[in-house]
Amino acid sequence: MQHMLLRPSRSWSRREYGLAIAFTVLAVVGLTLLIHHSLRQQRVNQAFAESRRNAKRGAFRPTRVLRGERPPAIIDAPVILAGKVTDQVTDKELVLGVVVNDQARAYPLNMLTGPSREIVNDHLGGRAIAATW
Amino acid sequence: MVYARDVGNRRLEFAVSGMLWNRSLVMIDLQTETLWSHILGKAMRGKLEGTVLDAIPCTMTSWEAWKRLRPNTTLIDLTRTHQSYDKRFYRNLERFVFGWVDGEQASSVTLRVLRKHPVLNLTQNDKPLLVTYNPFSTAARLFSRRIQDYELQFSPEGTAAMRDRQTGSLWNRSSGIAEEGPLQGTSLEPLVGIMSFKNTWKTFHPSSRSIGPKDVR
Repeated sequence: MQHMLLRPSRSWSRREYGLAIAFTVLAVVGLTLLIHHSLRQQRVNQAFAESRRNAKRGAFRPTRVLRGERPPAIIDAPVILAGKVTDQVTDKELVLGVVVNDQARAYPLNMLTGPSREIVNDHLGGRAIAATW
Repeated sequence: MVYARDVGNRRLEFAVSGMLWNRSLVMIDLQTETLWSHILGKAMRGKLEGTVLDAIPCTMTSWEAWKRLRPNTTLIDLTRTHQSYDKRFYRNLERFVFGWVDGEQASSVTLRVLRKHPVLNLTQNDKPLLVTYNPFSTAARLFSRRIQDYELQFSPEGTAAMRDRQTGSLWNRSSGIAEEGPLQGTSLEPLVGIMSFKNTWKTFHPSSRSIGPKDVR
C-alpha cells in the first residue's frame, strides 16, 4: 500500500527518490528524538515530584550498600585503662569520649571506621549504651 | 553519637544494617529488626517506628586532650580499621558545624564562628545555653548555663578555660567543671551536641537555625 501511495502516476526521477528517502529518514529521526526527549522530560518531572513528596513527609529511603550477610554486632568490646595504652591510639588521633556516672571511656575513630565497626554496644557507668560513628 | 540502648523495658543491641540513608548510617536492632537513623537516633521503619533513643552527651576530641580531661578513662581495644582520623580532620572550618536539637528546633554553628567566639552564651526557648570550643583539641560542647537558680555568663580565658562573670570562677571549657574559685568542683550540665559535616546537618535538619555572632549574649 505504502508503495502505491508513494508512487505518483509518472515514475520518479532519481532525485525525487533521494529526496523522499531523505525526508522519511529525517522524519523518523526527528520523531524518535521528540519521543525520547518527552519521555526523558516525563521521567525528570516524576523524579522531582517524588523528591518533593519525599521532602514533605521526610520519607525514609535507605539504599543497600552492603551485599550478603550483615556484619555481626559488636557487643562489649575489650577495654584497657588509659595508663596501659601503647600503640592503640596516638595523642593527635580523634576519639569519641563519653562519661556516664563519672566513668569515662574513649572510642578511637580509627577503630570505629568501616562497615564491620561503626557501632559498639557497650556498658558504662551502669547504663547500656551504643557508641556510633 | 552515643545512645542509651534501653527503650521502655527492652534492651536493644544494634548492628550495621548494610544500608545508608542520605549517605548516613542506618542501624538495625537485633531484637526487633527495626531500622534506625544513626544521626537522628530515631526508628524509621519496623516495630519500634517513631521511637527516639535517648542521646548521651559525648565529645569528639583528641586522645591527648581526653586523657588529660579524664585521667581515669578507659579505651576500647579493637584493631585499627583506619589510620588517618586525627584532629586535622576538622581543619577545614567551613565544612563542619556543631549542631544540637531542642524539641523541634535544630540549631548549628560553624567552626569558623566558634573559632572566633569559642565561648558562646546563648538563650534559646528561655534556656540559657553555652557552646564552647577548644581549637587545639577541636572539642566543641554544649552546656546549660544554669546552676541551681542562677544563670551564669562566661568569657573565654586562654584556649582551654573560661571564667564566669558572676563568681569569677575558672572553668574547664571542655569538661564544664569549675577548677578554681568559689564554684570549684561544680559541673555544668552537659547537653547533646554533635560535630557534623555542614551538608549532612542541613540534609537531616533542613530548617536548622544558623547561629552567628548576632546571637551572642
